[in-house]
Amino acid sequence: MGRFILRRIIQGLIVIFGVTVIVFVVTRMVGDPVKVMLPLESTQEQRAAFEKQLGLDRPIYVQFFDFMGDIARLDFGDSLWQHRPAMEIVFEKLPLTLLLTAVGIGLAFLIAIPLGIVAALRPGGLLDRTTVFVSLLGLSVPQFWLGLLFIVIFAVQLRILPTSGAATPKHIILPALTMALPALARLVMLVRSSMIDELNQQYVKTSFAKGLPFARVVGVHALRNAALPVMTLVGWEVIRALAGYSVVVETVFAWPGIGLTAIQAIQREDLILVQAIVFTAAISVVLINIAMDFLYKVIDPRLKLN
Amino acid sequence: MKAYRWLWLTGIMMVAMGVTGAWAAGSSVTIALGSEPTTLDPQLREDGGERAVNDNIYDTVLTRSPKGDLIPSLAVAMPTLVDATTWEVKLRSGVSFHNGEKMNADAVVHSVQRIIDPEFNSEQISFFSTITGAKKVDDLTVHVTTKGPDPILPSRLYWLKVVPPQHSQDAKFAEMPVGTGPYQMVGWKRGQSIELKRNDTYWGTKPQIEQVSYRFVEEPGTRLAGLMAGEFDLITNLLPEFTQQVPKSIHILGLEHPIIILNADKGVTKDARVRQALNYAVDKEALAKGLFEGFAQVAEGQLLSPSFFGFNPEVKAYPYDVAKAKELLKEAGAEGATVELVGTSGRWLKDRELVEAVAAYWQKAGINAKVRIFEFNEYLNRLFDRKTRADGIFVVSSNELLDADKSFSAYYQAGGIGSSNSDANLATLIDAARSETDVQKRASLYHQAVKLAHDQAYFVWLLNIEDVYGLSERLNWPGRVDARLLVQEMMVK
Repeated sequence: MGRFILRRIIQGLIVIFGVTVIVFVVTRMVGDPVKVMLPLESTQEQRAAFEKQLGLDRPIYVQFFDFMGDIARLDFGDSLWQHRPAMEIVFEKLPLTLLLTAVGIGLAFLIAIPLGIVAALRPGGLLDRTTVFVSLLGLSVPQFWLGLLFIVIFAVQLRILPTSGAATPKHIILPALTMALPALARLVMLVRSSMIDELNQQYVKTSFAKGLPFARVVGVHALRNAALPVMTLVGWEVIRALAGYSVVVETVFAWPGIGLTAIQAIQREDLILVQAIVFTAAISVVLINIAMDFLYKVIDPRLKLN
Repeated sequence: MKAYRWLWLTGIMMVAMGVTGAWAAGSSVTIALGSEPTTLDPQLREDGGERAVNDNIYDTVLTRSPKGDLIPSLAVAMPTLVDATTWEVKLRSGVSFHNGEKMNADAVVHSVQRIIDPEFNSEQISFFSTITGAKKVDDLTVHVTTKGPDPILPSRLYWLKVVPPQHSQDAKFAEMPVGTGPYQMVGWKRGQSIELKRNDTYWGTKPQIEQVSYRFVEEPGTRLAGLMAGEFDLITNLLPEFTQQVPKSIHILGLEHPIIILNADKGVTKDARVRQALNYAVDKEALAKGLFEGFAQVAEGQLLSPSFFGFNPEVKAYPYDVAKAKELLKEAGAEGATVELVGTSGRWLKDRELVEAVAAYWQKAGINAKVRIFEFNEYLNRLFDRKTRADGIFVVSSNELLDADKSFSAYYQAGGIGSSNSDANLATLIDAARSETDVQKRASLYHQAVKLAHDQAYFVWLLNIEDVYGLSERLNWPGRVDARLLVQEMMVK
């Protein structure tokens, strides 16, 4: 077990290193913050002075070695756009995104498991067909549009929820729902199909035959076996939510988290902040993957972790 | 049982108080901004969000009327010239900052020295680049000195927010702004909101609105929804197509001018007749109506709005005349010639649509327009490329000084960062105007420059875009040509 953890951590470090190097190179290849950040009418002298101030006039290898030192100290320097330490911004915004992800994916998980099981009990039944239909709808609707639709219905028409921001607990409802829906749709489909597979296994029939209670057969024996692929997908959904959906959902609802900050930093060519955010996202992904491996072991102790 | 009844009563009373409390705070507004300020130090950054908030907390030495005329603010009169490079500013007496510090010559001298200090590294330095220093003459008189004669100094002083000498040295200054303005800071919850309240000891007219709350919403659709849901009273940059849906909208001629820079040095556009033809070929009226739903005006053949210094009222837009365009092209032997037109997408309102519409008009007049839309960075490479200039480059120029110098130095003058001509006469006129302190003479120099550039058709002047704001039913605000969101000029029902 100890050796396994060590190996996963080393693998994770390699991934994080690779990602940050790629981001360093790509941001410097495609963009020039000097041009984007200064007003269009600025003179050549003003541009040169600004470039010097940002340290972007130095050779790229010098910048790269500096950057490596920064990573080692977990200090990426000041954001070009906000003029305060990039990590300070990340730590300020990340909790809000974690909260939104936890509520959104938690909601998806809590609804998907019972709904998927019930649908699987009578494949082809009315409930099953409805579930499949709604799931397909949830998968097909663009999240951006879904968010705006929620705003129009619940905030503009009914006026029961706020349109945007994160001031009160009420503010999380619409963004969390928007984040939950596609994940919910995928999870329901997977829970349903895994459960259908398990319920058709011989051991289920045997359990029923020897008179075990229905709830125990379905909820414990079958569900535990169906859980592995579902957990894989949940982990994947958490990663997608953190490093993907958050950008869309937070933009639509002006939720001041890391996703919104990421898109703003990219628009403003804030290399430093983009690096800090990608670095943090890479760490999150690696950590979630390691956590998922442990969960597998918990669910199915027979699994060998090599 | 009795205790419960009392609890009920208390509850009802609290609700009632809450409601009346909400009534009493009726004179508050919520303004949705597109971006959150990165700092609230008024002298440090070039940041629209910061400006929107601080314009209400700070006063400037001079200000502008809603129509754009420069008028005194913390000064009692317009600055006067002592000699060619020294301006005298007389200050209002009895004004103090929100924290009690006195607003006097020391405060103004401090504010000038702070912003021009190279160590301070202000992003706003381009507004003050000609200022060399400031000196206290007496408690209410300041002399501001400039590098050479600088006729734009009054316009520059319109940008100079006066900061308190003591508090501005505090490390917390960037989060806790203290000015002399009609509103004072209450608090800033990062990522969420900024709250201001009325300064009841304000030296000027007491504003009607007591509380201001700023929210930050980047996505235009969400800003619109917030206005329609009654959460916001004012949103900026309303898309023209939504003006019918919001409770109220206002529009006012803004500072943005989309133009096409034509290459007068090389290629088919080197011939002035071709450049004129490209102007005649475009139906600007139709662009204003079709693309901007009427929320734009045809630019009068110059890169200036009527409210800018240097605007030449005698120069008019090239009329839409395809026959004339065809004739000119024929004369120049340029029928069917190919003109490369560079643009970008998503940076400015309807940027791509404008470029494509212009190309279609050119096509109609017999020019083969080759549209090339680039991602913004790559587009900037082409806009700033001094060696190879594209035949036509689309750009939107914005001019916050409301003075011809900035736009003309960048785009009209040979060698300017985005110019495509090498007209020595035009450059001489612009150079001369930059240091001419006689207002009449200076205006006349710009009038000549405008006329020259217009006749030579160095650009295709398209439109002057209007700023469109969405307002709640209860808010009344006429808007301003300089796009400042001054809450003191707003009223709520």
